Amino acid sequence: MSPLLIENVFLIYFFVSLSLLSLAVVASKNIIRSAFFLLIFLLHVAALFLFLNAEFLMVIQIIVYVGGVLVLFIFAIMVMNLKEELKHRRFIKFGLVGVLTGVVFFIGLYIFLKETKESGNFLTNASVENFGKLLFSYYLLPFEILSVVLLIALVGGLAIAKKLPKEDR
Amino acid sequence: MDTVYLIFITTVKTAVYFGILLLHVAYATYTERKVIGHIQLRLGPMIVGPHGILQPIADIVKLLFKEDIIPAKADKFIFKLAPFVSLSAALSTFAVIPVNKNWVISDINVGLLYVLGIAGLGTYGVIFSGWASNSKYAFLGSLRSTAQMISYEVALGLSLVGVVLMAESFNLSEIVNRQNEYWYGMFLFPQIIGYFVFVVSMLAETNRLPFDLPEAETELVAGYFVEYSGIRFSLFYLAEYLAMFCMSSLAAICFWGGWSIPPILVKTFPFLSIIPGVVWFLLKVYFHIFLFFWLRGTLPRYRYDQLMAIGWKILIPLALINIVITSLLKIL
Repeated sequence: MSPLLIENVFLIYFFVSLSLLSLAVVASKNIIRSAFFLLIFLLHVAALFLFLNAEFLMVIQIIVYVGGVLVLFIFAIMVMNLKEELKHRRFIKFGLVGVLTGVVFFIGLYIFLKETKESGNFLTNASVENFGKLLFSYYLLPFEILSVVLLIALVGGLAIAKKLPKEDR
Repeated sequence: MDTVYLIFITTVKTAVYFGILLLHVAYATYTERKVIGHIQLRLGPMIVGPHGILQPIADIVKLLFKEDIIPAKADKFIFKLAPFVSLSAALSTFAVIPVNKNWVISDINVGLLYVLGIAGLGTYGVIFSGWASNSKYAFLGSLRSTAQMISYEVALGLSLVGVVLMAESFNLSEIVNRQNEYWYGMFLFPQIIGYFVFVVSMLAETNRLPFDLPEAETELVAGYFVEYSGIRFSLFYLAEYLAMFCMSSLAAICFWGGWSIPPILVKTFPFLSIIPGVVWFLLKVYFHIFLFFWLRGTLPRYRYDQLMAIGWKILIPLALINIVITSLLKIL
């Protein structure tokens, strides 16, 4: 068996399971099950980065999305005590619009990505050292702006959470 | 041919590693009962075999043959899967932990980040088991555990930044090699604040005493795995001990110099260099495992608000101070 064949087998596995899992995330009525499928989905995405030799991006994917974002999702779901999703008219009114948006999005993606070629695998050099050097020299301004945005989000969240009801003020 | 060989050899390595780990876990439970017993002036297990040496085997056989009960109102799919989530999270961390020079399954460049990220996955087993059991005790335990693990992951990550700054690498083997360049051979001494923060958050991260609030027996019966029985219960138990071994190995590698010994010791006692590195590594890991048991035998449990206050108001500021001092010393 040639290495290319094995890689293709793995790639086919990942793409098939990614599409099945993403369907399972939206199709399952129980919201915690959705979160469970999303967890496996995100881990598969992380594994896809390994095909590009981007170890750092894989780990960051796991730490940020799996370790941070999804845990907070589940935490919020549990605190709010949501039961099974209802198929109420209020929620499915915009179903057709959603489908149309998805179709337009994918057509747009196809048009833009049709012309791209493999551009010298720049992710292979994506070691932590290179990331750090680029982040603090060439991309310093966007980096600083992003951190200010994050700080604003943090302060805003605190301000909303700290707001007391009228009678307690 | 090369790829097939690589897959084969990795599978063999993983199987060997897995077997050794399981034996370690089995005898860690035995050691824990013995150590706690002697701290409390008891003898611990004494019946099965001489000094109870076969007790773990008897326990495993008992757990394998117990009935696997699933509560009537539980979410069966997630209830059955949750222990495997915990276990696979705990086991995958060992893929990058080097036991000796070049004795590692996968020597990736971001090993430290990988261990931290994958260890964080253990939270999901706890959340899912608590939710799927449909029981108040389990649910409360899992909520507590989630909050605790999220808070202490921050402190755990920050405490290791000092080590990364000194080693200039995320690769675990490289971190060990860098420590050997100093005459004292351990980051323990320059990073003493980081080590303190690491040890405290390691106890909280693995849900061990004095921070075992998710499974506080007196308030929550057993916390998130109260509804589990038989083999699924033992999988949670296994995951907890594996997490302890993972954190102990991380402490040994990042702060105690892994498989190497301080160069000054080798210079003074040249005969020490014939002892293989894996022995030193295991000794350092066993010390940390003993620390877990020792603290369990001596410290009472913290209250929940105290736990959160320690994490956010003491440990995280301490870790940040440590980072500032380390980077200042690095520049000067």
